Amino acid sequence: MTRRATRWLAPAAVGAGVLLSWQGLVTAFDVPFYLVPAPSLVAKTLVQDAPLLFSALLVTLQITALALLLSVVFGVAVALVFVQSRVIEMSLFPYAVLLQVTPIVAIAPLIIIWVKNPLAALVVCATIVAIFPIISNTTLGLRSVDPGLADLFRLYGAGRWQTLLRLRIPSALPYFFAGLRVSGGLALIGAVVAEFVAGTGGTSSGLAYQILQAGLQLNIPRLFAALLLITLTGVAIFALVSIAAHLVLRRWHESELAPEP
Amino acid sequence: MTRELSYRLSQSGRCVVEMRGASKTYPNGVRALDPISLQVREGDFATLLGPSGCGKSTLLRMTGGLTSPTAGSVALWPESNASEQPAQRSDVTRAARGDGHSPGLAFVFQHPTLMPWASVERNVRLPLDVSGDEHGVAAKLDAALNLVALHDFARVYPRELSGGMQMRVSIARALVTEPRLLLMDEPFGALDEITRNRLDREISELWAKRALTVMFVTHSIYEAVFLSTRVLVMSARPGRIAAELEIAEPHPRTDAFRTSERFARLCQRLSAMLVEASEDSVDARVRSR
Repeated sequence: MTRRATRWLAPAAVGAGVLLSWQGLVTAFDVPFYLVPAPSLVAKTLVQDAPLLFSALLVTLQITALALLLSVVFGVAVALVFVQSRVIEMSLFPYAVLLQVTPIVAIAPLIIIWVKNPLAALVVCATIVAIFPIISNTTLGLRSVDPGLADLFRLYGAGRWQTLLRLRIPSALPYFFAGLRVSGGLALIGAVVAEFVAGTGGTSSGLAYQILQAGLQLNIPRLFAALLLITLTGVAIFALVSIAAHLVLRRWHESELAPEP
Repeated sequence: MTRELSYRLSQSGRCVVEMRGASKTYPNGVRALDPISLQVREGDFATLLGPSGCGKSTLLRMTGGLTSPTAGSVALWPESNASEQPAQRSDVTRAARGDGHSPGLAFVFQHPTLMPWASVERNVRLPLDVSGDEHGVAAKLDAALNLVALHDFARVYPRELSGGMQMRVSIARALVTEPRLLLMDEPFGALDEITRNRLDREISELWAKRALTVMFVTHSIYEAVFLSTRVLVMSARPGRIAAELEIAEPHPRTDAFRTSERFARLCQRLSAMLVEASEDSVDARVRSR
């Protein structure tokens, strides 16, 4: 068996094993479905409630995607401002940290009150959760320039812009993608948490709201189905970001080189 | 101990580099270089030879404008360029702004220092791209790649090349602007001896063919003898030029020269000068060899 096949088959086998024993145990011990639904029931619910769940998924996806986009745009912009001067970075970095360490659950109600449009409020919350890794990693990357190459650019009289475009930004790419990988997951977490907070107020209809409702109604199979969709979304975001990183870095960066056979 | 030595051996060509009492003291108080006065003339292959930490790299970086002298002055082409007066060149703020840039100058570093995200071709043409000089880029690029026999590797990425080939790319990048002064900081120090000898031979040929002026840093006596027209022997802590040896052997030099008796004699003389220089210096640890 090749290494490549093992890489896919091994985790797939573990997954299948877990699902089969889950199904077997639930059936054998006759566990009521409102406590632990069998995987088959979860699948059936997913199909049955598809219209409801997938329109909810779309809402959550929208919030996540917008939050990730804003995180990238503003995160990179902030990083570019930070590297212009140490004074700017020293003055503003503590506030970026402040944003990072404040639990979103604590400030979400405030944001939901302040921002009229419910969707926009959720996007703001998710962005606050997701933006920090982009800021800190991109700043680190923009600073992590090979000193030899920096000398070379200086020697040839390269200006600020040229150095930024030809040297700093390419040097920062691996760091940026490492940040993006974390931020992708955080954007989803931020969206879900914000929906929970907003959901208790009765607005919005994303996946987290469905989980909340299903929990209140003891509709555990639907809760599981919604949970499954959120998990799959997280995996999909991670995979997309990884593919993007691979496409950009594969020819030159160590992190994307094929392992030696 | 401040001693100033002045060297004017090859009086023939125009002056390319002129240092007058240039010294370097780091902010932490470490004295890297005692005041140094020297001239490098057009067509010189001047090698700075000395033990690690003797400040030879610092001296070269000062010449290239990558670091500024604490006192004294460094000037390139002092006779032809009135605007580059010594006093201005040593101005600390100018150097800090990175304005030390001089068009006829190229630098080859200790490591290949290539952009890993760019192909060989894009690495080599970087100096042209940065200067915005679009005139005849393709021809210059071709010429530079041909000089180092890398034409077939134009689209390859640096990590796909061996250390010796990466160094060749670095040399092509230095030559692409057709510089008049080439500064090389132990360029082949990290390579195996066979590759190093071959690249030394190639550099020697290039120097003869292109009428270059070269300042070369090394700690290898053999390399110094093989390449140079003049060897400046340095001693350590603080760095200073202790002696000078002229190598009046014909160019281009071949592997036959490397095995000749004259070569061995020159190496012995240089070795003795190095030992004497370090015995002379405050730090005499080299003597225990």
